[in-house]
Amino acid sequence: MTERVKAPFIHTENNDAYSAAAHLVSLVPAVAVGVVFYGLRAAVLIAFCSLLFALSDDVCSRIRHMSRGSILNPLFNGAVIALLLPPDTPLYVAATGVLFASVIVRQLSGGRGSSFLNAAAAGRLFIRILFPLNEAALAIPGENRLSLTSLLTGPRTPVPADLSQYYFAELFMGRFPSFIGTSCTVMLLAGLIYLLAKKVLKPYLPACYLGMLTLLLLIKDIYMDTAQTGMFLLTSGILFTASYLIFDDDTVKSFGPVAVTQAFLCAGLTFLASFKLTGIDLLVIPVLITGILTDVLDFAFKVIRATAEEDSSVKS
Amino acid sequence: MLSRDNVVRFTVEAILFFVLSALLVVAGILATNSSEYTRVQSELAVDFAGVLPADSYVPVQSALVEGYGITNVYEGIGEDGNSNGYVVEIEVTDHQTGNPLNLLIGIDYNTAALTGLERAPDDQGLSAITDEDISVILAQTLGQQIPVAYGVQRQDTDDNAEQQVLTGLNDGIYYAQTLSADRSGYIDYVEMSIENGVITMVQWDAFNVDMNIKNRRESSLDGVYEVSGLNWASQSYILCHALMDVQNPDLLAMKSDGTTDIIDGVTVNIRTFVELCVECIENSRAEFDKDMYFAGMREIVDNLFEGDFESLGVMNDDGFIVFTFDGYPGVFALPDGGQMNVRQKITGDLADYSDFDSTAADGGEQMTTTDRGNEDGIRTEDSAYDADSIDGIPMAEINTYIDGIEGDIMSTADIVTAINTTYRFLKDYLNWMA
Amino acid sequence: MSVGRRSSSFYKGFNSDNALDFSKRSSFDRDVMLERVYPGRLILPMLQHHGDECIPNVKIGETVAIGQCVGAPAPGTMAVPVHAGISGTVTAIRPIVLPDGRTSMSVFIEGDRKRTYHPTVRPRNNVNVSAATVMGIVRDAGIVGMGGEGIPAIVKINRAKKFKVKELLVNCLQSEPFADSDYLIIDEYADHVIMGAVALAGSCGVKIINILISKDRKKEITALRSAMERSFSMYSGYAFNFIFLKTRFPQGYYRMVARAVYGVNLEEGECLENRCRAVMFNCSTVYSCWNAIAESMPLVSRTVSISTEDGLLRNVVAPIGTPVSELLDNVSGFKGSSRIIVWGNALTGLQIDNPETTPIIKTTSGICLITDVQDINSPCISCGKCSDVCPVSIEPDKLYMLIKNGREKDAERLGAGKCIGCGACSYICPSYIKLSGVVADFAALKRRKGSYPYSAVGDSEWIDDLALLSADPVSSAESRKPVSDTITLPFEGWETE
Repeated sequence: MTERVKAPFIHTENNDAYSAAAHLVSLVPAVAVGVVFYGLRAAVLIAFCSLLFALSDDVCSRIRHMSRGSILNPLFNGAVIALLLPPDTPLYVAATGVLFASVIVRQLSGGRGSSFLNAAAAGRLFIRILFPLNEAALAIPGENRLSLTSLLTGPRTPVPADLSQYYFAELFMGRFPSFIGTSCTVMLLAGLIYLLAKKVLKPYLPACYLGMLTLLLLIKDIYMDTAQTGMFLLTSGILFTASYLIFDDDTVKSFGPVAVTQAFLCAGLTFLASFKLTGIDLLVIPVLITGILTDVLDFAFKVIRATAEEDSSVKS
Repeated sequence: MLSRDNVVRFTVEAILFFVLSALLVVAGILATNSSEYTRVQSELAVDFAGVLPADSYVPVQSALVEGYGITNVYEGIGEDGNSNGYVVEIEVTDHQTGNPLNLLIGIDYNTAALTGLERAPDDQGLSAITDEDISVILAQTLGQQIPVAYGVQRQDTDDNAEQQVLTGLNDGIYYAQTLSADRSGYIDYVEMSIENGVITMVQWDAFNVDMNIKNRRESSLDGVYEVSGLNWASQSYILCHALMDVQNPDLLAMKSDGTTDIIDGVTVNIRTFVELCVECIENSRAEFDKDMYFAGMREIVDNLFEGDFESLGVMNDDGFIVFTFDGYPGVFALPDGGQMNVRQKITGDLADYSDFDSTAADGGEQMTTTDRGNEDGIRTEDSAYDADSIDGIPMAEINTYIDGIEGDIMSTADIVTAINTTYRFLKDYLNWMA
Repeated sequence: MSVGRRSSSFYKGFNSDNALDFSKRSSFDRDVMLERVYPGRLILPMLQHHGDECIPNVKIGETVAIGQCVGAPAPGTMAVPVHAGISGTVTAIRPIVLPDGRTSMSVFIEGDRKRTYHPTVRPRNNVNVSAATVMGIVRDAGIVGMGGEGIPAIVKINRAKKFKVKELLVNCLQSEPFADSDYLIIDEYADHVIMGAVALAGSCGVKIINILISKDRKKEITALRSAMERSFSMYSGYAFNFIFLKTRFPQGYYRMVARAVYGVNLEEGECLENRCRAVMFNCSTVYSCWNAIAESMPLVSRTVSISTEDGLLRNVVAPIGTPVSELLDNVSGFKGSSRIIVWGNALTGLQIDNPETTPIIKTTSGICLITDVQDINSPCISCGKCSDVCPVSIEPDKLYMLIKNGREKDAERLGAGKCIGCGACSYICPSYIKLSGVVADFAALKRRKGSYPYSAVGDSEWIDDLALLSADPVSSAESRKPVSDTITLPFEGWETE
């Protein structure tokens, strides 16, 4: 006699692998931008980071005898790290970040789902700290598409990062020196819409984050008599954050009130960070702090509620 | 796990997504090309305003750019659609700090005159060369035709009344070479022109017994022959001009270790140079000119081997006699009983120079050769090299002579090298003086 | 005439995805949808409802007809009669164990293929019956909540009268994946539903009838509107309203209805009647009531959805007591299937291993055939979807971990006892973790009382208190002996009405 199976007997198609696949496919426009703009070296970096993350994740899971879920998820995380890298990043730098994210952040903090830090964001920040010069590895889109030398040698001549002279169309298409996959607003929007269409991301979450941040920036513009909101939204890469970093499947809840709180919190932190930070710091540091704070707040809220319930039951 | 339907669906969506995205990006690139062009032109106009004003700038796509170590080259186009000239962004190494210096150099198309020289916008400022240094050179070169030489102005030589001119010199071109090769196979030679009893030109270089190896000056410019400080070619150039300044090798203040402190930028051992210069001066006094020197060598070789240079294969493509007298001590007696008017036979206590490799010459007496580089094992393609040159440019091509920065020959050399490299590139690219 | 108003749905639960897309039903399916099954034998458990077991009132070898009572309530018990759905001979009377764990004495009937009806089963001449008559018919026809809760309809009527409810709600919100038997009833018997609702409203003493239906069910809405227009003259004095809700599971659960329609969160011990002044009946129950009133046909058959997870769906009318094996053998497309058989629907049903001895009962709205139980060996990724869909607003992922780690007090404090076992969390979990299995079992353990088994959709506490037929779960075996002479056969007393 077979073991009796309990209900439910069916499960949603929108499972872990489905979500990871949808996330992975949603990265395709950003990948396309990276490959068209930066050519072979971008393609190699993306493939390298994805595969290394997947391999590392698999090895760690086997060693720890833990279930690892869909392989698509580590592929996605690796790709996210790659898309956050400057195009002239050498492979050893990328590998360092990927291994840190996979082995240290994800595995040592409890494995997938238990981490309070977004692995990709943490990995990327690790690169930023360990190889600060690498941040100058930006390149002008369209140049040296067939060259792979930077994968071994690192940055070429640094390119000027003053975007004030760029036209709106160029900024909108992401045609300015930036990270591999964070520059093109139109493509990031396409990816975001795909995620929403696949129902793996609730529309109100990116709306809360982006809406709140835009509002704060507008208030700042009005108050300080500046006009930086548009430029910020187009060039900072926060669409990438909204789609792939805050509401990931690995760390804090990506649905419900906790996620909404998280969206507002991250928007506030990003706004504050925009006064001091730029580049990758602006993208990942608010995300990481949000992850930590959300977990802390969630825990505190639970404790308070449990205590209150205990008190009320004692009184009754 | 994904159902098969979903795998197929996601795969198809990913492929479609990629193709559509790539098409959209390409379309976006095409759509933003005009924006980018306008923006880039306005940025370049700002960047190049002080170097070469033009209506627009077109990047020069040429494989030659890489070969010269040039970062970028733009052709400035005027309002009439014709070329105004070229803006070259070039990186040179500052020999004082070893750091890179990025310069923008503007050259007029019609006159090959320098239209501007300034630090490139993306220069990191790591070099010791200051904007004032660049300004000094710019002041001396603006509107002047390139290439440029520095240290002495040939036309001024005759006017230097205070020079201690050696007496008894006969006009002509005189020549001397070492009779033994150094450890790397180089045979040093000095060629000296004397006009009106004044040394007007000195050239110090060395050719190799291996005829496939470039001469030392060219090797040093290629980076395969390395010495400390400035490259050997520059030091040779500076030294030669220093001699032209002082007119007397004894005034070069060679110390017992073969070096000198009084010539900026010269760190190599100059003993061989001094000795060859002395020999040239002696030859001048004896009216033993270059042709006679070569004839004497030919006579000795013929006598020794009963053959001529050509059949013996001891003449290189530049016409130098690649022959070392190692193993043939005392054979430079000419068949007619006389001797070649060479100084190798003169005595000298060289025992103190223990840091030099020595080779036996002239009856067991030692002679020295400089050996300050990593010249061992040099194997480069055979190529003719114009001897009398700076930065690989024959002196005959030099159009402008400048004083350079006072008291800073090294910075002068670095900036001049940038200008002359620009000249060499343009010469190749535009096929000047083909 | 009917009017409609929109009501926001309760904000939890989940919307249907591809697996639940009923619009994919083909026209061919429509044609054969009301296929009828005539099994060769029946197994009639005496306990098919929420309450006490009936007592068989037939003997082995006795011949029975369709509509004949084979099990009647013992005096003083909370039970309703059980009737035969086929004509034939009683071959055995012995206990069986139902898939939900309850053991029940059952009457085995071998069919004679004659479809002989009991003499009492005939159309009623005058359907203008009194409220008291309706109550009697509803009780003696053995009608129970057919949406799954199994509460005898007469219990609800009495409770409604006690609390003087103002509205009657007709629950047309069937939303469990693959199940659409209720909608078939509406499609085919909308008039019965309307008239049944009127009859029940009359018996409960209310004048307002609200039909709760998904706004996407346009065809059913049209059918009901047409039925209302046709029967308008017969229900003057009663007002029909449509209340449109979103399609999501488990929308039909009474707590969700209270929240969506009345904006009320029912606390423990509260029900629609006492808090919202409303009584709710499933549309199939309403239909069966009218069938009993108009045709004098007791509850002997029901519509059952038979489905597979890959989209094959049949709705059949099957006699209650039909063994699952016979049901599957008699429906095209399912014979000889080697799939896992689920007694009930895909989210709340139970796996059965012995379809030959497991019958369809009054509360069985569906049979699911599952190819394979999916398991993807994935850890919890803390996505929060389970909390997002939980209709009772608990956090299944956290409770699951607490219960698994033996921290039952913490789990209880965080509301594990509220779990209604709807399975929404397990369904939606991207890692396919069996959350509801663990949490619902825990909740059931905590809520189990007396001999009543745990029911996912009914609170036995208030049923006990409000039952017309007072429950006696601890009554002695002696008091529950068959006393056939005390049993009044259904309908005999109502014929003259």
